[in-house]
Amino acid sequence: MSGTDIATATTDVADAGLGIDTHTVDSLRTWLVDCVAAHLERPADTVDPAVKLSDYGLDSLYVLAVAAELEDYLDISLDPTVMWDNPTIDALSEALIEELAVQDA
Amino acid sequence: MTTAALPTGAVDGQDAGAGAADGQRVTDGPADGRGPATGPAAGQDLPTRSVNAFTRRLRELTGPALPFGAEELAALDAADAFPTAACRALDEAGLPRSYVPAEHGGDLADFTVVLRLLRAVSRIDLTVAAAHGKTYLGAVSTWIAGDDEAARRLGGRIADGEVVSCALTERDHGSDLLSGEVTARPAPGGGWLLDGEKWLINNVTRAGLVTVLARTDEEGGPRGFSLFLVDKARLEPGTWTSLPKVPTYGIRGADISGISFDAAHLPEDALIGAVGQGVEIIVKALHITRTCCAAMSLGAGDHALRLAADFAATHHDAGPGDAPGSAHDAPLARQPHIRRELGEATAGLLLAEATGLIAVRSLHSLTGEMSVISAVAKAYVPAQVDALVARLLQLLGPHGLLGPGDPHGQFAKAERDHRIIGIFDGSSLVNRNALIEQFPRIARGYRKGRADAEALAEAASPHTAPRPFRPAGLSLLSTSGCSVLAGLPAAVEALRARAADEVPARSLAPLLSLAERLLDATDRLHEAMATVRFTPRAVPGEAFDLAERYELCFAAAGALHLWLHGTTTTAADTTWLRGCLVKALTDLGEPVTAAETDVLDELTDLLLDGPPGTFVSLLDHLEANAS
Repeated sequence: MSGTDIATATTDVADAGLGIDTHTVDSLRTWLVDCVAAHLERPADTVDPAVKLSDYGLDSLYVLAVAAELEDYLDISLDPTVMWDNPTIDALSEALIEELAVQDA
Repeated sequence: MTTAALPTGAVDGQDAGAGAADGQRVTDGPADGRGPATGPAAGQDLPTRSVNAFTRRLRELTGPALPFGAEELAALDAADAFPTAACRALDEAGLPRSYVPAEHGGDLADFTVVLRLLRAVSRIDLTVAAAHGKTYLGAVSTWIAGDDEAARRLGGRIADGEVVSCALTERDHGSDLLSGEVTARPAPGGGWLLDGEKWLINNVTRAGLVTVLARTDEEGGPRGFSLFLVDKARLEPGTWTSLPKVPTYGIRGADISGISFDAAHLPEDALIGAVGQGVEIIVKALHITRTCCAAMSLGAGDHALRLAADFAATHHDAGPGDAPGSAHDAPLARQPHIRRELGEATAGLLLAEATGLIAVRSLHSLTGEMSVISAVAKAYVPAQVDALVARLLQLLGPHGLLGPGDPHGQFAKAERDHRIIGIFDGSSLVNRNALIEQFPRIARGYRKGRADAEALAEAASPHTAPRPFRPAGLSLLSTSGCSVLAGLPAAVEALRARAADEVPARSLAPLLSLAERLLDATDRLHEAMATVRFTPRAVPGEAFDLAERYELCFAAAGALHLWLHGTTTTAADTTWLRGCLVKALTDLGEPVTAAETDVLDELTDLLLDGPPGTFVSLLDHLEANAS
């Protein structure tokens, strides 16, 4: 099973309402590293969460697709520009936890 | 009301070039000048009446020595000269107010009206339409992100006839906005200092106001650019210069030029929206403008098809040995293969129109899906019109369509001018790429049946007033996918229900059969789309083929939605819709029988039987309150 298939399978689980409810910055970071690695077709341990996604060649429009996957995975609604305002996986994980807290409130 | 009564008074079939005898008409009766009204003007909605009035005004201006005279426009084109008089006439007719949203003091409350007005101009001259319509692109960023005061001020200036341009591209970077080098830096003492050169910009020399995308963060990136509304009159002399007009293949008279800034000081309030929002605003603005580009393609298609039809109806095959009275001495339009081609071209134009109508109306009701819909409209409509123009040329060129049969060279000009429509505001390639990047989401939405049925019904009812357009509803990415195709299964089901109820039985059966094949093809397409995997900048070639198929399915589904919402359940004419479905299924490579394809000849009759100077439009075959 390729990384992309894992990402798809994960979102389908989330869609069915079976997703894990308690996300942490660490769990999101891990999920995002896998997701980005799948898009780049490279091993997850070569994706540095502190490096800008654009440095890996994920351009500004392509990266919006990751926002779509995040929406499905987290079952929240996201403005895709969250990807532009938070250009690294580290920054994105923090921002998503804040967003989850807001939307759960 | 039956389709024969032309519920809206044949509005969109009107040509500014038709007999000008009724120029004195001041009431809002049918604009066709064909005697007594067949339907009361009171039955026309307000937008239809205003489109009528505008079209009538254009028609009055098409005679010799007038701003829209064929000879005058041909001469300007030959001299690469700007159509100043025609643009001024459009100003006087009030068209600029249609570029200003009602909430900012203008007339723009329904994008369907803008589509119809710009289409009417494009039927006469695409150079004029592109030159005049550009002001909307110049202003749209302020409508989306500017504060109310700025928007109201800009609205006032546009209503007074100010030309507004939009400068995105640069000499070395083409459509790659993120590599732009024009820079705005905070000025000592407030405001901004603008440096660098924008090039290949429509109207930038004529314009008094220019929306400029500039780098505000040295690092660049999607948050590294901002938009500024530059008022040339407020710049220090010597801090900016206009660059020479660039000679172009088509729209030769247009002001395609550039502008160079050298430490040009902008006041603080020139900034549109927030610092760093420039790219986001522009991407959203393009969702609107790419959609409205359909108006220009439809007008050019109308023009080319009308010229071809008139030519074929009045010219005989002048081959050697074809003496008058011989078997071949019939108008070209009676030759079977020419009839068929004219019918297919008509079907192609109706599919393009269905796409354009659904797309502009989706701005109001399916705003969040415009990242998909605008890409479809901009990729499909211009390409469809380019293709039909090329085929008409191939068909009738050898018979003299480009020669004495077209004394002012209108067909050749329309062909030349239209080539640019598929390129500016994002080419078909750029738009198909945008579509492909959304394949996973679109396929998922389709599989789950995520369609906003109410919003879709609104988008498919062009004679009703849509809900107000809210720019805040635009999104860089459609969350739900695309309701037009996700709503196709329900539409086919609705058709099936009508077919089951109808009296007499089975007259809808041929249509239903075609619609079921469309649904089947659409199902298979989405399965294929779901399997496409690619890494950034490595989109596989076959994905572009899927994108083209997606556009065809969208166009055909759009036509079906329009028919379902614009016809009553009994005795509805199915001709135009069957023609559209046959054409789309054929282009998709799906099986269609020879008997089914014969419907294209009926579309030829629709085209040829119309009074001189009229056009075939779906709007004349849809009822106002059918659904």
